[in-house]
Amino acid sequence: MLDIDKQLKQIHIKSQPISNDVMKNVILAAASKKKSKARNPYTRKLVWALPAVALVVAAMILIAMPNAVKDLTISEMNYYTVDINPGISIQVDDKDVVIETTAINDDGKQLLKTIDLGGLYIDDAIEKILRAAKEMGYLNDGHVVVGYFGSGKHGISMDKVEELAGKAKTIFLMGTREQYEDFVEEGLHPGLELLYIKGEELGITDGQDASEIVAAIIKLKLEIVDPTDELTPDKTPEFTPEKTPKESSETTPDKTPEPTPDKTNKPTQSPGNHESATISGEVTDNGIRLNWSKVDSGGFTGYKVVASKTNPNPKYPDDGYLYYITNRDTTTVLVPFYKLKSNTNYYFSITALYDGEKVAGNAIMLKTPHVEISYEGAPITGYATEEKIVLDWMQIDTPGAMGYKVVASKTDSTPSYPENGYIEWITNLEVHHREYAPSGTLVAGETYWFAITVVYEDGTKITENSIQLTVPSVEPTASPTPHIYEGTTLAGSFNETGISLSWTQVDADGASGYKVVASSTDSTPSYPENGYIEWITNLATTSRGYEPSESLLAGETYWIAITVVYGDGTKVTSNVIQLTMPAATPSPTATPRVYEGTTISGSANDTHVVLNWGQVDTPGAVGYKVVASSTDSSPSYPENGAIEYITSLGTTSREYAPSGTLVAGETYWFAITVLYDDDTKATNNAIQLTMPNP
Amino acid sequence: MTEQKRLLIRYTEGDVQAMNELIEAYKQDLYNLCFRLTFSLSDADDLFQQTWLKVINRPEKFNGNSFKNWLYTVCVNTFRDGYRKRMRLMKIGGVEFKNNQAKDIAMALVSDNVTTEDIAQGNFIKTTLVAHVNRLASKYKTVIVLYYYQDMSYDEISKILNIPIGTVKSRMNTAKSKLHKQLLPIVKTEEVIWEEEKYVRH
Repeated sequence: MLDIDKQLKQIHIKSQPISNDVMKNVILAAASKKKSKARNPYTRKLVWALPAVALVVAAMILIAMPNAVKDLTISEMNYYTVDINPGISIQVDDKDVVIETTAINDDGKQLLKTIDLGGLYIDDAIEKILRAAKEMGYLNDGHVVVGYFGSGKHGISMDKVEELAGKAKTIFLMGTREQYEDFVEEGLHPGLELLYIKGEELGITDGQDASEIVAAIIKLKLEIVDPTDELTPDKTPEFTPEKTPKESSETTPDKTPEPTPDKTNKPTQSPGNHESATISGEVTDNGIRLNWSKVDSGGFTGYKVVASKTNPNPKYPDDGYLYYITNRDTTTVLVPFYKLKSNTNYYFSITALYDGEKVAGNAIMLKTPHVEISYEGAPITGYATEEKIVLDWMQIDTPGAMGYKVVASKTDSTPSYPENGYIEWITNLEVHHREYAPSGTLVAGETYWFAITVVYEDGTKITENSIQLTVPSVEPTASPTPHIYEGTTLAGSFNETGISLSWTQVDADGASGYKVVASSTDSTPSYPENGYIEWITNLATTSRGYEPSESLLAGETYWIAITVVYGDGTKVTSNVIQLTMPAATPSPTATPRVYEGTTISGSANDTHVVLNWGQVDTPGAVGYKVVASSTDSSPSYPENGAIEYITSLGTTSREYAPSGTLVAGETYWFAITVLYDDDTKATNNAIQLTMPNP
Repeated sequence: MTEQKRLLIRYTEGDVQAMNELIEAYKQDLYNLCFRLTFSLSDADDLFQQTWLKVINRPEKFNGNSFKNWLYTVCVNTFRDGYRKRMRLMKIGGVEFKNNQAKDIAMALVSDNVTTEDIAQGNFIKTTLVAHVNRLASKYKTVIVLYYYQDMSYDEISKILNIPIGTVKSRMNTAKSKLHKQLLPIVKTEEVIWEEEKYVRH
C-alpha cells in the first residue's frame, strides 16, 4: 500500500553547505547597499533611467500641483500597463492622473512619440493610446492587455477599451505594486507577465503568444476572471449534519433542483439596499450549470460564485469562491465536474460585490453525479524509416483532456512536458499519429527519447512512457513531405448583440476552407455530421461574428467548432466552445413593418362592373384578392372567399361581366384584400355595385 | 519590537553588521529551504542570494512579526517568479531543456543511517517521490516542502503564502493525490522486481 504521507515523512533531506562565494556575495551586497544610500534599487533604477525631459515634466507637475507633492511618494503611486504590441507602462498618482509614461518596447517608443499623456486621467490616457495605436496600424485583431498594479480602485472602463479595441481581444488584469516592481527588476514586461501568470493559473502553459493566451482565457472563462486555484475546502460546519435541509434534498431532484425553499437559504439583507443575485441551477452532462439574476444596483464590481459542501448559506469571503465575474451581464457559468467532488452535495450561491459591500444571494443545493475523473496517459510507440520517424500513440477521449504535447529529449530517458519542453502541441484529440523528418529541432543522425504528455484542463499532465528513436541521417529527396492535416484552435466570446468567434489560421497545403459548425445538442459538433452555419473558403479569415438568426436562435446555447476541410476530403475539427446567443432585444432603430391596404372605387355600365384600386408598393405585398359578397357590407379575404387572385401588383383595375358567380341584377359589396408574404392581409374599404342585367 | 526588527532598523541607519547578524542567524534555514524548493545546488545558490538581496533592498517591508516567516515569504515568492521564468525559457528552448537534477536529489537523500536495503528499495521510491515532488507545480511543491521538510504548521504556511489555511490543506491534498497517482504504477512495478530479487537471493 502506497502511503504518500508516510513516504514524505520518511524522506530526509540533508542540510546543504552554503558555498563561501555565495555568502561573500550576500554580505558584500549588504555592505554596498548601505553605501549607496538609495531607498531601493527599483527607485534608484527608475530615477537614473528617466530621461532628463521626463524629470523636467515631473518637476513641472510638482510646481503646478503643490498640493500633490505629498502624493508623489513611491508608496502611493500605482501603475497601469497597456500591451497591444506597443507596450507602455503608465505611472499614476492616487487620483489616477498620469505622472509618467515609459515605453516597454520599440513600438511603444514609436507610439509615445506621437502622444502626450502627462496630466490626463488614466481612462483618457488609455483611450488616447488606443486611438494612436489604431491610427498607426498596431491595433488590428490581436490583443489589448490592460494591467493595473496598485492598491485601491482602478480607474479603467473596460467597456470603453473594448469599444476602441474593435476586433482585438481585450483583457484586464490586476496585480500588486510589488509585483510590478519585481517584474521590472527582473527585466520582464509587467503586463504580459501578469497575463502569463493568469494563463498558467488557468492551465494555459503551452507557450502560446499573448494573443493566443488572451483568446484562450476568454475561451475558458468567457468574462470570468481570476478564478481561485481550487475550491476553498469547507470549514468546520457551523451546523450539525442532521440539520442539513432534508426537505430540500428530498424535494429537489438531483437533476433539476429548484432553489431550496429552506429558510436558511434565503439571501442576506443588504444594509445599503444593494440587490442580491438569485441563483438557480441544474446538473448537466458537462458540469453544474448555474444561472442567476442580473443585479442592477449601482456600485457593482462583480459576482463571486461560491460553493460549499457543508455550509447551506455559503458566501464570499467566508467560503472562498469558485469564480469571480466582473461583467454584470454574465449571469451563467458552467462549473465542470473536475472542479468538484463527485457524488457530493454542494451548496451554491452568488455574492454580489459592490463598492464597500458584499451581498450574498440565496443558495441552492445540487448533487454532483458519480464521475470518476481519471487521468489517462497516451502510451507511445514508434519507429524510424530511412526518411523520417513515425510516432503513434493511444487516442485519448478522457473528459478534461485538452491535447497532446509531443516531447523529445536527447538526454532525458523519461522526457515529459513541461520539464523537457515540446516539439508540437496537438489540440485535436483524435490525432494519434505524427511523422517527423529531420529538421533543426530533430537533427538528422541524433537519437532522441520521445514521449506524449496528455495535458488536462485542470493542469494535470500525464506522460505514460517514452521510446528511443534515431532520426534518419539521410534527408528525403524524391518523396514528398508527409501531408499534415492541420486543425485550428477556436476561441469565442459573446456580448449583448451576438457571439464572436476567432480561430487560428490554417495554412497547410490542401486546406480548402473552414466550416463553422454549431449544435445545441451535440457537445462535439463537426462537419458534415452537424451541417454548418457558414463555409469560409478564404483561409486568411480567422474570425466571425454572428447575431441571433434562424440558424442561431436568441437565448440558445450552442456547442461551436470549426472543421477544416481539405481538398482530398479530409476534415479536421477544432476544439469545441460553448456560447450562448444573447436574448433577442428589439432594435430601437428597426422600423416596424407596414402592411398597407388599398382603396377600391368602381362603377357599373350596361355590360360590366368596373373596379379600380390604388397600386400597393409596400415591401412584402404579393397580390390582390378581389372579394365580393351580396350579404356582407365589409367583405374581405379569406372570410368571404375571392372571385380572383391577382399577383401582379401593377394591376389596378378589373371589369366583371355577369356570371354564375356575379349574378346579373344582383347587388354586391366589392373589396380588395392585399396579401403579404407573411400571410398578413389588409382590406381597406368596400363599395356596393349592382351587376348589369343586359 | 522584535530583535530582528531592531536589527533591520539598525541596518537602515547604516549599521551593516546588523544585517550580517541576521544573515548569519537565518542562513542555514533559508539555504535548506532554497535547496528543497529547487533541488539543485546552483539554483539554490541563486535563490538564496536573490532572497537576501530583496531583504537588503527593502528592509522596511518587514512588518515586525515573524522574521522567519517573512524571509520564507520572500524566498517562496522569488522561487515562484523564477519558476515561471524558467517555464517560459523552457517553452522557448523547446527540446533541449535539461532537467539534470537527479544527482542533486540523490545526494540530498543520502543519510548516514540508511541501510543497504533501504537504498536498494526504499530509497528508490523516495528518490522517485522526491523527483515527482520536484515536478509538481510550484504552488503544490511549496506546501509540501514547507510542511514536510521545513516542519512548518498549516498556520505558518498560510501566513507565508498569504492564503487561507483551507487552501493550504486543499493544495496539500491535491499535491498528495497527484503524487499518489504518479507513484502508484512505479511502486507496483518496483515491488514486483524487489520481490523477485529477494526470491533469487534466497
